[in-house]
Amino acid sequence: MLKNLLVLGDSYSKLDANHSHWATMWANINNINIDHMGHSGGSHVYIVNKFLQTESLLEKYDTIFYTVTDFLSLDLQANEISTQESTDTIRSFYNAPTNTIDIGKILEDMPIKDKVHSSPWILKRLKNANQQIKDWYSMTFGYSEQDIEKVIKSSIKNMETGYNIVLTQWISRANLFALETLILKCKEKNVKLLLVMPWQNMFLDTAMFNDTQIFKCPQFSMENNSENHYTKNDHKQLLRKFIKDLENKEIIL
Amino acid sequence: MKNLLVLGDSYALLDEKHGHWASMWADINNISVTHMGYPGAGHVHIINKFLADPIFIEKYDTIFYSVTDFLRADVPAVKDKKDKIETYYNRLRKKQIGKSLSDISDRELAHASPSLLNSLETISQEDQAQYANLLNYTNEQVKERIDIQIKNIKGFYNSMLIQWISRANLFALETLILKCREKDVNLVLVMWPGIQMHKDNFDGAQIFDCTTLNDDLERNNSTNHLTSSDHKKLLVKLSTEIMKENIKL
Repeated sequence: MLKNLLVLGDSYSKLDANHSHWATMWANINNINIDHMGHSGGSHVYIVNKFLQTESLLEKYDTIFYTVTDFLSLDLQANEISTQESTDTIRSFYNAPTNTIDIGKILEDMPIKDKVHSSPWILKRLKNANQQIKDWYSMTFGYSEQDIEKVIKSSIKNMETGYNIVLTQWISRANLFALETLILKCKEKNVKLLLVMPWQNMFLDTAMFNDTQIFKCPQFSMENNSENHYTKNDHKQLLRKFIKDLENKEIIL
Repeated sequence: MKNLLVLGDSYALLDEKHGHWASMWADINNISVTHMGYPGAGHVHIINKFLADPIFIEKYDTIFYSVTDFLRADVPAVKDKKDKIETYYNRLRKKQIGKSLSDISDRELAHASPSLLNSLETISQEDQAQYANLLNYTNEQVKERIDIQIKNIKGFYNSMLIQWISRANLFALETLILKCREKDVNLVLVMWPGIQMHKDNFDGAQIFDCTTLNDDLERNNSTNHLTSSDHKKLLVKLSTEIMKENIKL
């Protein structure tokens, strides 16, 4: 019996104060406890690491709805660094005292201002940034109004350089490993996992997901002020589709 | 135990002349052994190769996995990289993510690492000629490839967050650990000098600690970097660990 539900992922997993979230609507109807952990712009590596850092979370929830978006999201340096600075950072990684490196924690501990959550979608948005997008960027990542122009400029530069150099096949496989780890950990702990796919172009070959259940969302316009990109009306439509999928036993919880 | 796989980077290769401690141990115990070594590759690349064919995880009951550098990654090794962002999303519908990576030819990608960058920047004429021979390139082609690799690897480490790269590699390793546990495959992680991570990173997997092996190994011509004498020492060490039940197979 489903008691504690977690909605995990990027911005699509956030509960918007005005527009709400279809999963919360559904949980409220069914008297289920629900939490939202949405990390705007985060990659699978970042999000799953954040979740697994607190071991008790995997014990706390019996069901997780995980939002699957871009497999090309990654974290880049926030500032342009020289080769010498890069060498120093690498050296400090290797020279850390024996047996002390906790790889998950060092990513978790990075302050948001030292990294840029990057994706081709964010890059595209920033390159065509109107005031609404600027407000979204500063609100999401906590930048001040004075800093935002400078931050957007350097973020665009870093992302353009980064995506010109990375091998998309490697980045996407790395992100898929993060997701596979989550899938396998949930299976091991008997936690039900539902992969929620809001992007039409992310309707991947489901064989990749080891018989994990999938909820495919219809596409809606993203031109709104909702933190999770859906309006209240969109969420209601999603709720109806979700209930229908449950009734048709396409999803079993 | 019947079928043992030695998986990893160059440390997992069987050298024709110097052998391998795992093969020596398997021979003594009449165990069938296979080596899959990918020189210079990172965890994401190696484990993807291994999992690309589901038959492998069914075939072996035990895996010795060489834990490599957590800062390794793959970068393009050609001037104009073919995988443009615009084509990526179309490809995603047609081809599985794992297969997209395993299908890239060795000529198109470079296994990036800080140590490779250092080696390429200081490469001797002799090594350059050897490299050309290995890849079946002309001297001009190999020089061009080296220049591209240096540029891309430098750019990669200057822009990527190393904390993200190391976590991505650890996720690959965690997937291997969890898949082995799910399929009841015995997994032993082999730790080399320079890979001295806290064991909590490895989710309860068994560890064969070779980190005390002399780091200043003399330059030799072994494809797995160890001479037959080093392998014999490691064979004794493995046998002792098994006898003491520090490693259970």
